[in-house]
Amino acid sequence: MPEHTYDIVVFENQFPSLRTDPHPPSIEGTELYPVRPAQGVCEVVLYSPNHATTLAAEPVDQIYKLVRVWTDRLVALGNLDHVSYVFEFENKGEAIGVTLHHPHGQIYGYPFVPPHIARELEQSQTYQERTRRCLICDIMAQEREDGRRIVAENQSFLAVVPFFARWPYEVHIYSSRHLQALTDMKPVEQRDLASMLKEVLVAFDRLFNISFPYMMVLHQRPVDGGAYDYYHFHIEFYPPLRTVAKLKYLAGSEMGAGLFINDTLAEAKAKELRGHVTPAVWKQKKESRD
Amino acid sequence: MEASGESRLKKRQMTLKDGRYMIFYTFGDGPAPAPEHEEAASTEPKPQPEEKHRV
Repeated sequence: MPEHTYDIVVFENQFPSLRTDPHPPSIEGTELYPVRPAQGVCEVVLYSPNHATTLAAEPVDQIYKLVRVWTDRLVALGNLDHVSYVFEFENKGEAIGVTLHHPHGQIYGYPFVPPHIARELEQSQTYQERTRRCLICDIMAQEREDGRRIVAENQSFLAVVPFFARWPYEVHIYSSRHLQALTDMKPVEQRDLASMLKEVLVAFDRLFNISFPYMMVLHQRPVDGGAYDYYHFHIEFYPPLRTVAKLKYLAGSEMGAGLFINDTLAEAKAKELRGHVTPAVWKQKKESRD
Repeated sequence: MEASGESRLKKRQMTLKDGRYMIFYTFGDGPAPAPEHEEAASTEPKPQPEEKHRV
């Protein structure tokens, strides 16, 4: 990539799992095993012209640019007829299997709502129908009342190690306001999101004084034209490290039974992370809050 | 509409030799710089996505 000609660049993955014009399936389907062409979109997002940096090391101003690019891609891919869900995510670190070291994330445009999101939508809708409240709004209320699992908070976002954490240092970032996607956010909320991401990512790196591996996923409403007002935007981090030298493996219970074994307390892990959080410092003066 | 003081988002799209698109995002007041290696600039307008629904 030519240096200094971009802030962030997005391009189609050279080896995509999904394509706008996919090849026919490599194998015939059956009634039991139906197949379909792998239609969709796979994009790579380079976070910076700097090959040697990480998202955590970038200024919060740069992370804010990423938030805006994510938003732009959500709109662009969401307007494609063959895309029902836009999944923005990052796999970081060799422990996750990442070999391209230039700081980057990915965006998949799936032709259907993927199973994990579908389950979240189902549970959110069921909860709202039963209680007339939003599930994540209630989670945030409980976390603020309790306090022990909070990692960081600003006016627009709350970061916690969830009560139900599957990974030792799993962190969720919830929007304080009930909204479903990046496109619902005001500029000040998107800047607060950049601040929150910076604070969480730096806290991760400071835990063991290493460039911390993780999976980061954005959970937003589908783009299939449906009504999802009961859903709530959030970001989830799945760091695989238990200690600086030990990985959390997905083994028999996790893969075979769907039950995560976590021998740590969310409250203890949140306290560790909280001790490493420092406020994000902006180079450019932030706009006064609305 | 962007808030006052927001740096403007600019995009420049190019097509690589293998047909993949690449989009350069810049933020600021100046024009988006031209990439140094504009390979096989497409003469065909990229099909515009149909306006589907609110995202």
